[in-house]
Amino acid sequence: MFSKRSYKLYAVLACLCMSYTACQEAEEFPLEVRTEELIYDQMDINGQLAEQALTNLYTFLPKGFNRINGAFLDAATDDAVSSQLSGDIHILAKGYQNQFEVVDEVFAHNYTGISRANLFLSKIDVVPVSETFKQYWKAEARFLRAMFYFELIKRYGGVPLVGEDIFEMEDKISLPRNSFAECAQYITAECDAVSGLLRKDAALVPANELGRITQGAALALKARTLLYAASPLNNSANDAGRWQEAADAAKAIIDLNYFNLNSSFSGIFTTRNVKEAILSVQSAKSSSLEQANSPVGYYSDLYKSNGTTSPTQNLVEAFPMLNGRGIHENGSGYDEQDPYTGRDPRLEATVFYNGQEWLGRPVETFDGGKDRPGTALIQTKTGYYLRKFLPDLSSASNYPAADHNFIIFRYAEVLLNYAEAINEAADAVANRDIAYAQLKAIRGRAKITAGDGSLYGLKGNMTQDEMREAIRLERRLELAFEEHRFWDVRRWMTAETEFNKMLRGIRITKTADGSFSYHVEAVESLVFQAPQMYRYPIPFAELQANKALIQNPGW
Amino acid sequence: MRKTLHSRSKKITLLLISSGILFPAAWSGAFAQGRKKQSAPDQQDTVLIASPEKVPQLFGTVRRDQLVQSLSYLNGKTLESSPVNLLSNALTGRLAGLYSVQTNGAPRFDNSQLSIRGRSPLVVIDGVPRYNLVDGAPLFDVLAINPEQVESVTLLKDGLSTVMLGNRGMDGVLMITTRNRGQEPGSSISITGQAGLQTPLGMRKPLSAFDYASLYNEALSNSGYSPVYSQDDLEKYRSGTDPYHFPNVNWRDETLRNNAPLQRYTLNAGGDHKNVGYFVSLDYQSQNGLFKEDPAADYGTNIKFDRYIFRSNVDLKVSSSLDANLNVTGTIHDYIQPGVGFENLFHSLQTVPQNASPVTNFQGSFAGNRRYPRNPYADAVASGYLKNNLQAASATLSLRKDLSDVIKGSWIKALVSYSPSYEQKIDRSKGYNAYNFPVTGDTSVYTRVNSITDQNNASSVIGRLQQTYLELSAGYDQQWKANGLSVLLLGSYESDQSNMQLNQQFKNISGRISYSYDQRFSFELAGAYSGNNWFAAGHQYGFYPGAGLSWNAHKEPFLRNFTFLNELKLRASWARVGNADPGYFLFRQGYVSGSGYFFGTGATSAGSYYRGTPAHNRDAEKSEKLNVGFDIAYAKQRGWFSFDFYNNRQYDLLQVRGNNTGLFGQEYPLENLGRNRFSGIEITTGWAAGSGRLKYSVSGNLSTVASKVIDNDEPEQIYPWMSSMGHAVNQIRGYVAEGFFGPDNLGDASVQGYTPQPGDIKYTDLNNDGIINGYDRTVIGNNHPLVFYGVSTALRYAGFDFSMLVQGVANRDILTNGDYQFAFGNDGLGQAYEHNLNRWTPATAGSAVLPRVTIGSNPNNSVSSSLYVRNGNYLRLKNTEIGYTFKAGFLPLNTVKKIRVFVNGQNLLTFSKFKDADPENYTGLYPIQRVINGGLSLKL
Repeated sequence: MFSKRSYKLYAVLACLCMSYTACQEAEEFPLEVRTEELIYDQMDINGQLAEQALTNLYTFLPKGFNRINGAFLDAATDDAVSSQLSGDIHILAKGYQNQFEVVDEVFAHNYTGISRANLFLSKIDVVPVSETFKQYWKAEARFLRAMFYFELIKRYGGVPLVGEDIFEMEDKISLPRNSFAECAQYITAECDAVSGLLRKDAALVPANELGRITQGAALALKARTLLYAASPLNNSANDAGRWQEAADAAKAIIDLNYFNLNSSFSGIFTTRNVKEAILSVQSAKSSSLEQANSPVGYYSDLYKSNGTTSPTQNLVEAFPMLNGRGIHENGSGYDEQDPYTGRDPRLEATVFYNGQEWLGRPVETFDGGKDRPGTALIQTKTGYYLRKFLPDLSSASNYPAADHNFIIFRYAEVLLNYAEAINEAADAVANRDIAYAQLKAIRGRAKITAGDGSLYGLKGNMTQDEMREAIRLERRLELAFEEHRFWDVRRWMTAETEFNKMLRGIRITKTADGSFSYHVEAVESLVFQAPQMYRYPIPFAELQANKALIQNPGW
Repeated sequence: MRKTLHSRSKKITLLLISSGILFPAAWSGAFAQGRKKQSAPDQQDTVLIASPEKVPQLFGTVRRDQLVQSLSYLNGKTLESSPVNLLSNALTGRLAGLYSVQTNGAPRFDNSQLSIRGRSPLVVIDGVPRYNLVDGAPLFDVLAINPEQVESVTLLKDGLSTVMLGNRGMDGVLMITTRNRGQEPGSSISITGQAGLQTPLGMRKPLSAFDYASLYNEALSNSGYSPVYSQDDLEKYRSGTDPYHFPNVNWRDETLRNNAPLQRYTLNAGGDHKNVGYFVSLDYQSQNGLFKEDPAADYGTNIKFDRYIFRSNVDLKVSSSLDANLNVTGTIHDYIQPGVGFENLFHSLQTVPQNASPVTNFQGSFAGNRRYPRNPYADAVASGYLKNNLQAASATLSLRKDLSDVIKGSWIKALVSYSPSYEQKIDRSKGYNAYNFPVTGDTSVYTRVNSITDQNNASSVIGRLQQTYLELSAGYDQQWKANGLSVLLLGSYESDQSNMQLNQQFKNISGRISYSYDQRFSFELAGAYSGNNWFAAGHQYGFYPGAGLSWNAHKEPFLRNFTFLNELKLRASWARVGNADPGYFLFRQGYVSGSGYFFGTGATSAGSYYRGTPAHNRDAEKSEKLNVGFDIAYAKQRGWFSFDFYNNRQYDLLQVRGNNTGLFGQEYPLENLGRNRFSGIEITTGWAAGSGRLKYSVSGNLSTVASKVIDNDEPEQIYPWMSSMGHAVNQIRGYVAEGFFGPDNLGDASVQGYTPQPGDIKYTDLNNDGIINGYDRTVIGNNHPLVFYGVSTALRYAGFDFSMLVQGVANRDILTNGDYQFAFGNDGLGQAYEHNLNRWTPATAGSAVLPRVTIGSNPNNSVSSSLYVRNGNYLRLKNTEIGYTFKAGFLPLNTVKKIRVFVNGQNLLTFSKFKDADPENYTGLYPIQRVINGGLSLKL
């Protein structure tokens, strides 16, 4: 009996051993992980997965709106303050930025995009998609790579150009910075190279792929890059030739005769595909912008409004009257106690002010009003809220999901780039006439009345300096909250004065008879520390890891 | 005379074990040998002397006199005085070398985090390593075991004791042995019922509405904003005359009960017969949470944790040479919590101030507020509930065949263990209506700030896990005169299957040779060749050797006459052990699907991206462990002392390389780059004595853990103090606070870009550049060896028994810079506590401990600095028990052999310099509990 039992025992043990060795059939690795061979499939004439790698590059496009911890980047300019009490935006606005914790830090992010673009470009040739598609795809990837470089240089100045390199772990990556000019040269060369390879315009893009890079985007990136390169921050020698290059690049887009100014100013931002938009970050319909920025009193369990952004009185005062004249100019017709009547229509499209209609009731930003209750609630600090980018919901009852593509390049910017560059290229009447034409076009679209001599309120026969100021003002108003002013004032090198000031708001008191009295008050100071804040600091960790990098001045 | 003394010393020894005193690792010799000869003086104590002559080690037991490894041993009986559900909480302070910290008090999730010499130990239960990870996180606590089912707990501390686990041996091992026999010859049944009350400990006190609003105003003014509460408002908060508009609600009191019940019922049956030994246990415990419930509701929403454990351990002597052992255990966890989840609820309690809103509006509806739409009370009673069910089972069969008929002293053994576990969640949560009752305007109008939603009815799988463990071993034990030889060869294979992942396999071939000479010298050599299939080929396997030596000096002729010294043993061991942390096939290069882009107007187009450089070279982390120690017993074994010194040189630790530049454009993989050192000492000492009916014992343990970063591959630092190297592994880094700015020194160095105000924290400008920035950050805490200790006493007089455990930690720093520290937290949306009143004001400039209060971002005051490093030392009366055992003669029924009544308590008293909150759980999460418990135990 004993031996029989032990026989069984040995049998069991033998079975166990066999089951152990019988595992060879099992899957050895997780095969669902896509390999490079699968992504860049030599047999797939549609290149379906390879296209996904390109699609991923698009996610690296710069995004705008409430992106700095829920605040607009423009809340670190004189156009707005953040209603929030905390958040990274205050670090930018108060000059607390430092190299150890960089706010809006995109260094590694953009190099990741660049690296993935390089990887795509190095692999895509094996995929047997049609030559036309391959041409488009490669051009798109190259454009995106150039765009990522632009995002880097506008923050940090010149950065290392890695070319086509894809680094390996074994590589000792010790690359010095290229100069701003070299980077700008690289970007413009890339734009030149791809502009002929991209689809000519959005009309050639299939409807379900709208949002793809077209020729206009490459030209617009080139124009903006050259404008930045010609600007005082990057053109200390004031080489007028650079301005001329920038002007020519902008003119090239106008000469495409494809883009135009949208007839409605506010419609640009709420329509998915308008001919004014040259490149925008595509996104699904949502009501997130409405919820983030609408006046706080519009609140129910169905919709929330968080009033995150408080545009300043400084910005509101910068808008001219309907006749185009500045509010302090003679004959403007401005009334301090009725400040919003008869103003540039872009004002009401840009900010919410007291009395504007929204969701079926007037905005109440007077003291104790529904939108400025004075309680501990986060609310406007200035008496204004941000309206730009929102559809007309003055009589709606809810926030419907709406189109909110962030526009990276639009035609109005191109016109302003052109005006600015041509005005700087030479102190000549002929140049200023061109600039006048651009400003008039923009003011005309804004529905400012043409007035005497069709000057749209602009001073006649301006000097070069006067024209420069007029263009800068127009840029501020037209492109407000589109992430331009933050960089424009830096590249003009006027931030010490423009961004070093007390920002103001409006205090509105409702009197017993229901009328309002207006009183301008100081709200928050904006701090700009020169010279270091002209450039972002390169993150300290990057300097440590790559000793060849040299930090920007002042950090 | 001699005989009396001997028997007295034996009784003391028995008492020692029965009352749960640490049994010294060195304990051996005389009394163990005497066990067989003498009949025990007391039945209970006899039973308790389970296997003192041999201590458990991995894959077997070892005679104490031959012990070379460094172990801490605890008799399971000790743990029964702890009214806790998770074994980890009963172990605190009881074992030299075992550090524990409990940061969460929520039922089911209140386990202490254990560490041995700086690493979280692997848990081995009845010889099987227990794997419980699903996607890298534990599915359940393998230590959710009833202490009454535990025979012993052994801590394997040095490298030699765990080297046979190879690439799983680096963390040390917490080895649990469950009971497998009755406690005495024949069969017996014991029934224990106990019930207790849990009271939360050390919660921060929130400010009253008046104090909150006043401080809020102060913070606003300090930040340059206008106050929002008028004098009239403040007065109303103070007087409470208008509770609907100016509420003063202590949400803690509204939402939480003062205490919560806990109960446990255990039925154990044990038998110790000639060919069969068995232990069968049924255990039910129920633990309630602290949340209030709505008496009118259809169902309960408070946390309720019901746990059922069944265990059946059977030893069968099949024949004279074949032993079989079958352990089967099953666990069910039924867990209910409020629909929002207890973590969110405590987050609400941490966020919603006392003046946010009333609990209910005057019409009875739940109140809420724009800023605080969540009403903590409604969260607790009206958000439905979540229910989790966990089922975990385990069956282990082992057969051991003695082959003495072939080769004397040889045997073979096979073990199979299978453990499936599964947890599902049933979501029965819902939303509730909450309304804001406006302060001004039309009082008939409510704004709904939170809206009701249908009750969910969804179930989801939290995790599935299946562990299969196979082990084959062969051994040879022989003694020739003075020479003893013991050889063990073992092969094991484990396959762990969690959710949809491919299984992880641990493969191991290991061996151990022990040689002893004349009860004086013991030498042990052990090693393992072990692998893991989730590493890349070429990195799957590693070899891990170890060796050790011990010398029983008291057996030497020159010490034999020194009768006061009963034992003197010197030990030394060295081993290299590893930690396999492969990640999920990370050596495979590949693309990740995701991160798409929205083209056109339809839907998001899929994206794919290169997931980064594969971890081709990833290998097991390793540690070379040196341990030396000695054990002393003296005064007829009444006193003992045991000492260990260890030095663990860890290398190949996984980390991202220091030179990681963004230019690389990919995520860097973890590489085997880091080197740390852990070293320290562990002391156990005790004394046990008694006369007549009084017996007592005192024992203590003390351990230190000093750690040092030898190399973390950090780039060369500009200033030496910026380096983490050379400092403790869990060092706290930040600025060095000097005090506060006053009106006179505002020009001193301050945080980059910041203009200091009086009352802001002033920091030391380490590099003297006039700016406080990253160059001025250095080590500000936890840079000294951690010290922890425990002192146990036990006393028995006639039928009474008493035990007490005091436990403490020293050289511990805590960094308190979370939302629980700063008033008004994020964006002014947060609670404030009484400690926030100690802020700087011009009047309190001399005595303030916190900077001036501000709202929102303050780049100067809310960063990590030594101002927020607190002394985290504490001393706790961790556990105490008083019991009385009725003698047989007094008992009403003949079948009842014994009745014991007892009262015990856990976390009874805490002494700490840290007054803001409990020193272990200070982040405002679910508080840890004081438990007062009582019960009755019957033995049939």
